[in-house]
Amino acid sequence: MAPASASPQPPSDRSDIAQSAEHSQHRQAGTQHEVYGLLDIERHVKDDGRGLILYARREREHEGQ
Amino acid sequence: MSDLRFNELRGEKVVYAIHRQSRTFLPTEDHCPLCPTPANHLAEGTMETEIPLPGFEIAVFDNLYPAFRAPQGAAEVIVYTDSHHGSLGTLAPERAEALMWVWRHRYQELGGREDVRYVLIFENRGVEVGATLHHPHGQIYGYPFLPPVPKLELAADARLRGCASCELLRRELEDGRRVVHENEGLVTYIPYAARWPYETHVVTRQHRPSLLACEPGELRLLAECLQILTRGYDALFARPFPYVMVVHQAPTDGHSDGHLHVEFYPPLRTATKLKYPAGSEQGGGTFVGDTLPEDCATALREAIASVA
Repeated sequence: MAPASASPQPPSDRSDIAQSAEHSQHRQAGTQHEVYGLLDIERHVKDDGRGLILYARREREHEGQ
Repeated sequence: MSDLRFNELRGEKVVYAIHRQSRTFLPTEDHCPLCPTPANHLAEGTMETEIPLPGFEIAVFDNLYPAFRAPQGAAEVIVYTDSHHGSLGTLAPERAEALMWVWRHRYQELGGREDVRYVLIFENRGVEVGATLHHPHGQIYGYPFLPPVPKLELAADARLRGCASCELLRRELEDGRRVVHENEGLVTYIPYAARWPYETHVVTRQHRPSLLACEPGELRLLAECLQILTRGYDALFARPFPYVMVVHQAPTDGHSDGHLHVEFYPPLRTATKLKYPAGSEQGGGTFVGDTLPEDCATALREAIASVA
């Protein structure tokens, strides 16, 4: 497994599905981290090239949105 | 790569993914590919599982034995927990709620791909329905075409001149006999013409085409409904209740509508007897029921109440 270095998905023209205000991304120390709703997301690429996404629950700061 | 053929007589596509024949089959816990990798194995670089970490909350990865893969669709595995034991019904409520967000995220991301026309999130629970791994998990298929069942739902919308799920929910609430559980956001009922004895549909009260249209509170209520239902299923015959669970949402073609609901197809008709799709079901396409939905709903409602 290695940290993902590429964009998670190819760009899409289906912006209504592929984009949302709840989705933000940033890179840190070579690993791609994202925030999505109440989730923290970390993307990896396994040794055989397959994707692995780890989801962890964030604090409930999104409540009331 | 899978081979996609068209069955002219039935007017449907059939997928041949022959590499799946060699997939892991009911391994013991110490060989489970969905468990975390023990720290000593990580240090030695040996016996890594699909998740090469000593622990995790929820993990999604590309299926090693995919029915579909880019650029003609996708097949992913969702692991609900790093614990080998348990089920959707026994997850902590916060984990179950997080799982709804994971479903939402995968629907959004896979649905945004040009090669995915329909995102099907599902779980096969129990060897009776073909599960090959005991670890609590589900799967996602990103179909490169619109499969027949969602097509039928769109046809039902056209036949009823509006959202079929909205109309059927209205009828079920008006009748009431088949409703087994409800909360502020969703209603669970055995359909008037269910095919399986304890088939249930968990339907959003509001017209929500997909998880993307749900408010955060509705996702929490959905998780609550699913957990209450699956615990009720387990209580019904005092045994782990096998089922196929499928999340129905709008196609991701950018224009089709849908109504988010989760369908369960459990094969048990008693604690020890299975309902088989046999001659009439497979050859004639007509399900023959041994029980009435109203009677099954009464039993399931009582089972749910017993564990509430």
